[in-house]
Amino acid sequence: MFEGPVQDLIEALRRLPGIGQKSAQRLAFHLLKAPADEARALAESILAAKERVAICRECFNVAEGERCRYCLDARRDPALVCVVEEPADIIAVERTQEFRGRYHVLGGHISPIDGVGPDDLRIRELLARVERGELKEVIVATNPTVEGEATAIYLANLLKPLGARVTRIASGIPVGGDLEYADEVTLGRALEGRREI
Amino acid sequence: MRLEALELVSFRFWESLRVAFPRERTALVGPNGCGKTSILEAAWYVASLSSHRSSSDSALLRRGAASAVVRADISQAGRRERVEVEIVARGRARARRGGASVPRRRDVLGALRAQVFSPERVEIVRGDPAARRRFADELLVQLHPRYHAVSRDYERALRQRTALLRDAAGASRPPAGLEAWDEALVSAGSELLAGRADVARRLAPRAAEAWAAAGGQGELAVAYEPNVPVPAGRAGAAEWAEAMRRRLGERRGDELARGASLVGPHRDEVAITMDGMVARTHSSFGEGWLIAVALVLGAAAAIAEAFADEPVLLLDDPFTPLDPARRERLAGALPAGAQAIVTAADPGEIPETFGGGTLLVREGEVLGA
Ligand SMILES: [Zn+2]
Repeated sequence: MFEGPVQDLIEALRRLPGIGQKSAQRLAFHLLKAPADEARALAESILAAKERVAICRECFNVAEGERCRYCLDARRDPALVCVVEEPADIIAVERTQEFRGRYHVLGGHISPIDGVGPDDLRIRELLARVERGELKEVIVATNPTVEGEATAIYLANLLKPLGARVTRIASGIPVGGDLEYADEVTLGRALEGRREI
Repeated sequence: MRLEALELVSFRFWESLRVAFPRERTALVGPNGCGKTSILEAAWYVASLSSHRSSSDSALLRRGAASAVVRADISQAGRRERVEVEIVARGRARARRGGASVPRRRDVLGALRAQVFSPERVEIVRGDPAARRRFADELLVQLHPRYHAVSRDYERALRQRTALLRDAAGASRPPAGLEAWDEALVSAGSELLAGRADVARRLAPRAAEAWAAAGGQGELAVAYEPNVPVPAGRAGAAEWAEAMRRRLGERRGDELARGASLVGPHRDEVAITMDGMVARTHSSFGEGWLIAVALVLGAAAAIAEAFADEPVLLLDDPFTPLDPARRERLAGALPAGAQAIVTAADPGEIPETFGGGTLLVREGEVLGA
């Protein structure tokens, strides 16, 4: 145990995902040794990101205003939407350069063990987009895990009665993996080979 | 297939050990607690990515170590391959095959095909159905490595679906998302049902042969008793999926009332009988031991037939409770051409007919190689 501001810093760092006690201490002492401007620059970039970055009203991606860059891009097909679990998955899909539609970020997957049900995700909002008649095809690109698959089936059961074409990315990505870690060639092929659920 | 050498780092009691197996038959001889069992356990870990003695990987780590490594040099049809598997208590463990790291640790499955016997394996005969299901699934993975992921997915879907039903127990309406979890359960469950049916079909005649060869009296039978009605004909996963969906429909009310998953391969039985009597309740300890050995040898024969190549036999202390005549017969029942590594506390237990070389295992070292 350290005291005062050092301990506060270690505890704040420990609350970050993937940071344990040891890493938090290492980061804290690294920051303490760093020049003052470096520490200030880091603190300022965190604050600036917090102040300037919002959540897109349309698709729930991170955005610098009310809408994200994909929702603002008029060249993108508004009738085609790719549903992902997290904003980081959008980056993975974009890397493939195979997709020219819009997105919808669910904010996770259904997982009863963790107490996450359909109401805890942005599913109602996706339903509303489909009901407004904007979307012709919904590509479900949740992770190829048990939870991602169950979420995809749940969405298909919900969306198909509304007349939307619901497709799932092909199982080219090894099951159990994260979209985020799939290479762009594999993910591109999975997008291209998508099939109706 | 031959296990040429094995290297253990921070595995169980061993800080660092390299042991070569230049002969087809090897006996590891040493007092109890000297670490000879962990050598076989490490080899089985490379073959199955699991231990037959412990369900948690952290139990495999040497005290104070954050990770362990097992390296195996394997040869098959003149080709030599090195497999390296890392074991960690938490976080992502790595693996290498032929010098290159593989994207997933399970990509090393199939590099070493093996079967393992140990005194704990008597549980397959005399223990809960879970022990028999595990044995069938282990054989399934040896035959088709992709089942490693299938059974993990099934466990995961089952846990999720059970949590959903438990939280909604007694409610009048099914909880939101139940159909999605039904499908997740059916998707992995139907594969597991089809796989186990296939495994039982392959195992049954070969276990009976091994039993007779090892000098067992009476008729040993292995029969799959799945939890869902068996589809007609040679059913594949699609037919099993239909059968499972139908059964889920029938049991929906019970599942909702009890808040539990009542349908699926987690409730299967693989029945083992001796002259029609259930071996679980009707076999003595000695009979149970010999039946377990026969099941392991039968499984090895099923693997040998599927790949036209004998798997490596890892036999921990197989001879101890047997009389000298039985020991002779058991050694004689080991398939010719198969590599066998056995352990014994007393070298006198190992019958002449076993042949091969002896390695002495003492605290911290292996001598006589
Ligand atoms: Zn947006």
